[in-house]
Amino acid sequence: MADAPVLTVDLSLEAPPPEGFVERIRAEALDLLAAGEVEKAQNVLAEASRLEQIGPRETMRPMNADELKQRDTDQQAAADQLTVDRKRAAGGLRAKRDRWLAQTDALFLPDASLPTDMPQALKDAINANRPAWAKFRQALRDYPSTVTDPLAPPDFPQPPASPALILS
Amino acid sequence: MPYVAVPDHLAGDVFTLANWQTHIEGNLNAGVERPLFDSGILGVAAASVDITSIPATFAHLRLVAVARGDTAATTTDLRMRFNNDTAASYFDAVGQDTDVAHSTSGNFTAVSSMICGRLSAATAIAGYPGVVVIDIPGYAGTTFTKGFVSQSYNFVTNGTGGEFVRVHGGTWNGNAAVNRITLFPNAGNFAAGSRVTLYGMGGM
Repeated sequence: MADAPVLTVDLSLEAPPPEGFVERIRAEALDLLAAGEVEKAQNVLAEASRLEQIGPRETMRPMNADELKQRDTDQQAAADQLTVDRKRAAGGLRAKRDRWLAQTDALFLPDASLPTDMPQALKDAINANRPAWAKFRQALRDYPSTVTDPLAPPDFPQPPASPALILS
Repeated sequence: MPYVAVPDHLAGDVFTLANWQTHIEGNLNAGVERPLFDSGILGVAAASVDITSIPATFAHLRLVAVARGDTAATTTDLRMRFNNDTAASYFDAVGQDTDVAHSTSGNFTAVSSMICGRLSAATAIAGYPGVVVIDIPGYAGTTFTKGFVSQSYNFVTNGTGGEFVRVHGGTWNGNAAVNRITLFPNAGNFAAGSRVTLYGMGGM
């Protein structure tokens, strides 16, 4: 693929008038002529001619050798930065996965015993939903292997609705 | 030059040539916000947008970009350079939120350009750009180094983690007035359809 050009603008140059502006003031000059204002009409026509000569301030030009070299340097630096960012993002996802597993260990590890003072309704909800929570916890364990780009990760596994535990 | 109140014809003020120069030319050239440059909608891809000879007559600058990258990725960062300084003269910091995670990153040792936004790129869902607003306060001063703050949003896919909201900040280790700004994607080019506008903002 050919290198794309650079869009460059020099703001020290006068901007060309908006589209239709020159035609509009030429029409106004005709009105001035009709009204006998010859000198004003000539001034307006001279300004119209001047404005007409103004070229665009923007140019699309090919990158020069320095810019091409700098572009390559920039893109390598960006690629290096992306690697760092991906590692950081992967670390964040893994940390969340680890937190959620740790927060559910006490209730859903196979050998976990529920606290004696836990309300019976909650114990019942936990016991009734153990398969769903086991599946969720397995999905958490598997999650890192499903991530191909940590900066655009797949949906994070969501906990079962019951019991409604708040994971953070 | 600060904004000067326009004469009130109801109070009997007469609009003279001097009034024209002060209240029309002066205010428009320096005192009020106005676009200095608008790329229009790019008809073809561009590697960068290079705005030169920025007048020092405003208090602050604002850049607005609606842009997409053409690199084969879902996103690409938008980078910025002042006065064509390609040395390691910049620092930047990024806070990012998606519906999945909050994260931060930054360059706390000097690098050669500043990340100032995030754009959707070629493999993002079609038609969705990144939108970026960058403010450069006091760009024409010569006492302090020059900083920027910006916000960006881009949408890359339906589903979790598919959109990015970011806040950016950065510094250029230069005390000179900023008279040139170069914007370019991290990788690849600005895709056709992108647009960059530069505004000058007046002071009071």
